[in-house]
Order: sequence, then structure tokens, then C-alpha cells
Amino acid sequence: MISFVPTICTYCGTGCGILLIVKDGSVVGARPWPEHPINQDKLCIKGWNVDEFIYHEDRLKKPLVKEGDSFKEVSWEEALKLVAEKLGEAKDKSGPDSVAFLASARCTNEENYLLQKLSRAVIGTNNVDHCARL
Amino acid sequence: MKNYNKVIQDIVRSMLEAGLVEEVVAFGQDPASVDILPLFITEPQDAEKVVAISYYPCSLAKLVALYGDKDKKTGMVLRPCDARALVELAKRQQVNLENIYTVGIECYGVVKDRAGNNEIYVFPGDMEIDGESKPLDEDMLAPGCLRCEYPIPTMTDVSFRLEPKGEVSVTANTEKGKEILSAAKISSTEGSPTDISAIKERAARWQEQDFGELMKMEPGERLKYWLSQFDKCIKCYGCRNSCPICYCSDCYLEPGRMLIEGEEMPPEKLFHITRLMHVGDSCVNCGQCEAACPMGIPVSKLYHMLYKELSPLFDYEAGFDLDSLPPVSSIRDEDLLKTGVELD
Repeated sequence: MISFVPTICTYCGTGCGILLIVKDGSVVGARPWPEHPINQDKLCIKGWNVDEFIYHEDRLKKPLVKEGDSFKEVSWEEALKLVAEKLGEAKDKSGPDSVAFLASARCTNEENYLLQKLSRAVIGTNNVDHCARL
Repeated sequence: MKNYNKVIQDIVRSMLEAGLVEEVVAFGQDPASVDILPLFITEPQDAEKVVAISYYPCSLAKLVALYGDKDKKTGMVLRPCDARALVELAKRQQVNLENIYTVGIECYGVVKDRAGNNEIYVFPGDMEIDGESKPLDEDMLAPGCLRCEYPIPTMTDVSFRLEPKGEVSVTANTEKGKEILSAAKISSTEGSPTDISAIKERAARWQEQDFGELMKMEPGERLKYWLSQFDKCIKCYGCRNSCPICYCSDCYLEPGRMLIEGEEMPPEKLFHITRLMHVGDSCVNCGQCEAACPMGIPVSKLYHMLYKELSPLFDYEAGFDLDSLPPVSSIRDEDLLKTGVELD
């Protein structure tokens, strides 16, 4: 059973349409979504191979916290609590501008909006940038 | 208007119902979407999604070779270029033609894109857009189609002709084709074959125009032209990924395969010249490489032009006879001597 599932490439903010090729419940390939208005049946090398990371052994599926030289799997609740604590600590000790936020071109506009909101309204710094400028 | 699709849907449905095939590969529209996508159909009721619109965004032969099951009885609804690609893939042991039942649509060209998701049918001298008949606008057709001289899928089991005003005629070309038509309870239409002189004339005119302007150049100038085109390449590998003749699962152009170091990119000139050497002798002019190119390199023109040079030289027509092997694998020393090549 093979089907072609239209979706949007997750690699960058361009938003190209792709068809994920799904065989017996697993993604086996990707190709351009022919009539998508953004990419019009074309893709870059990342888009053509966007399916490769889905089942990659290096893919992170759970939050990890560093303990000494190794990482430990923790729950989302635990991980977020730790991040909040550390950010609060840095802000209290060295001021809001001691913290910077790096957003991602792989997230949606809305997620990036929320990140700058967190940075400006919660922490109180304008130190916001994104990976596409690094 | 819907009659065009109805007959082909009836054929697909009856192939599945009669158990002739387990799966049919065709282009279709999901009721929830206007987009035309490749479909692998297993349920007879899904046959109503199949469309015969003159728009053909990728090679189904390539998809079947990559993702299909060689042991599964498979039906396919193909354009002539794709049917030829299927024959070429069979020569290269990538598909098992014994298990494939093919229904070919006579094709006078497909449109580059469907602005406004129109329902478009192209005929030799005119076209029908959303039920309205218009004179043929050559600018709307894909460049490869304008150069195409093979509108009739003689190599498929059943060939299928759409005519203006919704007329459809169907012909069985093989024993398997007769099985398909008897399953669908359709009788083969005995009629005059399509007059393809207008298509031949158009192909000759466009080949003259497209290749002529290149052949006018001095060899050095022509090389410079192509090298400057290759300079635009961003190495998306889209041409290779869309090409139905490019079949190697372990491609020579991938890094770490002797030619290119691991994690390196191939130099642009080498990339295209390697691909040209591998597929140039068997190009079926489907135009998928050029359609996939984000940089607008006229790659299909290059492959088609080389094919047209090699074809008479080696007396080889790609995509028709299963027993005639591509020149690259069947060439002998004396053939090379004939062409003026000096052997060591």
C-alpha cells in the first residue's frame, strides 16, 4: 500500500510543498508536490531527502539533561522546569541582558513570534536572533 | 466532458474487480483536493479518482521501479514517453513487464502547469479548457512535448484515444490488452488511426528551432554555452531523481563512490557530463529533468539532442523493443571504428 501525502518541508522557512511517499505505514521517500504554488514541482537537495531524518538513529525524541559527561533522558516537565530555573537564576544574578534567545528558521512564524515574546516580555531582553543569520 | 475520464475509470475499476491486477498506478484527483497526484489504487471504488487531464507531473514508471513490488500484478495508466521509460527500465531489470498491464493514453502534449487548476485536454490542433474549445496555445505546453514525435503509445497493452467533444476510442495492442478490454466489457474500436502528421510537423519544427540554434554554434562556443548553463547548477539532484532512465540505487554521483569524496559536492561540469553519458543514449524525452530543475537549465534539450544524434548512428530507438539493448551496453569495437573513434 503506497500513498503520496502532501505536506510542507520542515527544513527552512520557505515552505515548499512536498509529497511524502508512505509505504505500509513508513515514510520511504519524498518528492516535490507538483502543484504547490511556492516551489512549483521543484526542490533543493534538503527537500528531496527530507524523509531521511525521520527514522535516523541520531534523532532526538526525548529531552536530555547533561549529567557529567553523559546525557540522561527526562520528562518534558522536568526539562522545562530546569530551563525555567536556570533562566531565572541568570536573570536575577546578572540581569536580563545576560540571556539571549536563538529562534529557528525551521519553526513556524507563530512559534518564532512566541519566542521573542518570551524574551522581551518574560525575561526582558532584546537579545533575539535566529539560526538563518548564524 | 467527463466521458474522457469515465472510460478510463471503467477500465481501471474492471481490471481491479476482475482480479487482473492487484494495484493500479495512475494520476488522479482526491475529491478533497484539486491537485493531481500519483495514486496507487487497490480498491475498485477508488477508480473514480483517475483522470486523463493533459498534465503529467512525474514519471509513474520511475515510481513503480522505486517503490513498486515486482511480484505484484500492477496496472498502469501511462503517457507514451512514460510507457517508453517503462520499457527502458524493464531492459535494465528494474521492473517486471510480465506483471504489468499498461493502458496508454494517446498524448499530443501536456501543459507545463494548470493555472487555476483547469481541466485541460490537449488535441493535435486545439485544446479544451474547462469544457471550452480553444485553438492550441503552444506556449502552454512543456518544451519536451513540442519536440515529441511519439504521440501514440504503441508499446502499451491498450491504447486509448481522446477526441474533441468527449469521444473516446480504445484499442487492444496485445493479448494482455484483450484481457483488459474483455474484463471491462469494452470492444476494441476499429477505426482509422490518429493522423499524426500535425504532431510530426510540430516536432520537426521545434527540434529544428531548439537544436538548430545550438548546432549553428562553433563546437567551442557550444561547449562554452553548456558550461555556462552548468555553472547555474545548485546540485539538488532533482534531474537525477526525476529521470526514469537514471535507475541505479547506488549512484556514481553520490559522495563516497570513488568519483566524489565523502561529504563533497560534485563539480558542476562533471555532474552533468556524467549523467549525460549514463542516460543520453536512451533518453525518452519525457522532460521530467527540466521540469524539476530549480535553476532553469535546459537539460532535457541537451539529452534529447544527444539522443537524436546517437539514435540513427546506432540504429537504436529507445522505449520500443525490449530485445534491443541500449548502445552503451551493446556497443562493439567495430561500431566505434565506424564513427571515427580511434581505439588503443
